[in-house]
Amino acid sequence: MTLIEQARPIFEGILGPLPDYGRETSPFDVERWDSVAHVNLLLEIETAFDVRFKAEDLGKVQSVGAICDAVEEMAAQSKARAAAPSPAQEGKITV
Amino acid sequence: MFEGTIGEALLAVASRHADRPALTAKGQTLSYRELFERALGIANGLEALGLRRGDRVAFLTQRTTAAYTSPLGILLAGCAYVPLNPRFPAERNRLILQSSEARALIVDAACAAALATMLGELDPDVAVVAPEEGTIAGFDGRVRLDAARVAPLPLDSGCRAIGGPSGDTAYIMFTSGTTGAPKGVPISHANVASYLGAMSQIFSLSTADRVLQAVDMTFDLSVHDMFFTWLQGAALYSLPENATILVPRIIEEQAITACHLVPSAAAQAAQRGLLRPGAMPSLRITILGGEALPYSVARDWCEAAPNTRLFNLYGPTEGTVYIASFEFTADCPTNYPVVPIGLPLHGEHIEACDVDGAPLPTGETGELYLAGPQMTAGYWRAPHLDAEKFVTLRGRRWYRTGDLGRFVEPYGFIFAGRADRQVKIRGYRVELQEIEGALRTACARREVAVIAWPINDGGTADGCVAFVADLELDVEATLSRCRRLLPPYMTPDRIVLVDAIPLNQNGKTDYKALLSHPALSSSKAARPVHKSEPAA
Repeated sequence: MTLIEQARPIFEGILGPLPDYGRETSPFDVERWDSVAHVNLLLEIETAFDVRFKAEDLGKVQSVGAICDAVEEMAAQSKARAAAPSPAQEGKITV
Repeated sequence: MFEGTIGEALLAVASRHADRPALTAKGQTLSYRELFERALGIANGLEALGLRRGDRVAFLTQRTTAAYTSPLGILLAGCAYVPLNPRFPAERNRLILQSSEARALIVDAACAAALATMLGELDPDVAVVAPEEGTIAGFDGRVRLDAARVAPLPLDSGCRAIGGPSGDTAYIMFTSGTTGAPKGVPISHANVASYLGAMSQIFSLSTADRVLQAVDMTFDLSVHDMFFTWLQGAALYSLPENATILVPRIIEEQAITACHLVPSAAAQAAQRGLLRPGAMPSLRITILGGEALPYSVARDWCEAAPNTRLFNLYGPTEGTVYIASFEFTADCPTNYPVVPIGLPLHGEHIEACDVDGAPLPTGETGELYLAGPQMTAGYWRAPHLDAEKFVTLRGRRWYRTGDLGRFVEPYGFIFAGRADRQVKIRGYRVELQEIEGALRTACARREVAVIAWPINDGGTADGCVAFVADLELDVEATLSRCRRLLPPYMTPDRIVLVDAIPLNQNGKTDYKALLSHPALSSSKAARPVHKSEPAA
């Protein structure tokens, strides 16, 4: 299942049924997708996918596709950080 | 804090701190030099346009740097600023523009492109000023001043600030009115100087402070944010649009040191789980004001911001932002319904009075009367309102707030609700009669009633519900027409159709009966769907 499909229940939970749901779905297509719904959406997405948007980036993710791309990017960064050797492992920290 | 006009005082500060950051808005940071050079350019343009001291100039901008350079430029030109709001319906903006008799309107690029939607038909006598590049298209040659003619002027090119009498009007703020139209409250430079001077005795800022500016310019809390911050050389950070719920996160990410919010905004952040203990360590000053402050909100906020001093401030627009202050601390008394509003600011007077205006003894609840140098000289073009709301007693001119309160030693005043039907909906001051007036227009029925609902701790409301005596009414069409007449926070969350509006023994609308109407407890009405955020 793609991330866009996984996220569909979250979008529909806040915005109501979205028969034309897809990458391009945006506030221009959905009347209930107003500014408050947008913030609520992002907060729900954060909880569901264990990521965190920067407050300043709120306005930059304005479609289902953009939101899901951002989630994937944040998840990849988080994974890369987890895989990288810690300073202690590299011997940079001595106790 | 200063004598003379706001513009003169600010220019002196700008010269001292020219290269320090003054403002960040929509990702753009301006130094004091850049901010005031832009404002001087606007002032110069307004003067070239023939505007004179005391003229009103409106502005309609998004939360960009133009939202700040516009009022500054207007003040530096010796004129009074009148804020409009792109989130208001066109009809409301048009009414404010018309009532204020503004001679010019400043628009930013975004609002210029959507002026017809935001303002409707523009009076041809109002000169349009478009300071940003690329805002001329669509105006059919009606722009009287474009970017080239309001180009920034060097700070040292000669002070354009008009050092007129401090009694001149600095701004006119329009608030909800009982007659169905917003009413204007003119505030003078002297009023603002008194307020800022009194506030500086409560706490001060330094050039190292980063202050969050959260409310729109149509809310007078913005007066405090701009002028208190800039007069002390601190930096203002403008909250991005629609990000009110995320204030705690922005404070954390931007290392904000001082912020100013309505309690509804803090409560919503808490509800969304954003007030984690210790989440805002940088914050050292918090003002929560504009509506009653529940203890739970104050406690949650202090837990999330362990290094902050928290002030609960109280005051109506007529008294220049705030007139009383109470500092919330861990040992604050909790045996009152809400956090006390405290004692009057320096030089101001508050009394709880009986129906004849006589002061009541300590502990007795009455209407709060206010007096002092922060009080407006009177409403804009509304002598009937002046006669109703201002009264001279005991050698002072008092403003009758309509708020109820009592004095309690040693904490000062405790807010106890309203004597009339004014309410606070998510921090916004709302006269329910204004909503009823708009509703009558929208549905062409006389028998209507509006109540604030649901009511939260502290007596503030999340929204409002309308009742119309017509079982056949087209509800959706009526709501749609209401949206064109009222800002989102005043538009009813729903309309309940009834046989008749209940009346009390005196033959007046029985609002208490409506508050227990069964429709309000149905699942559909259990929670309104918010169409707007808290004021901040």
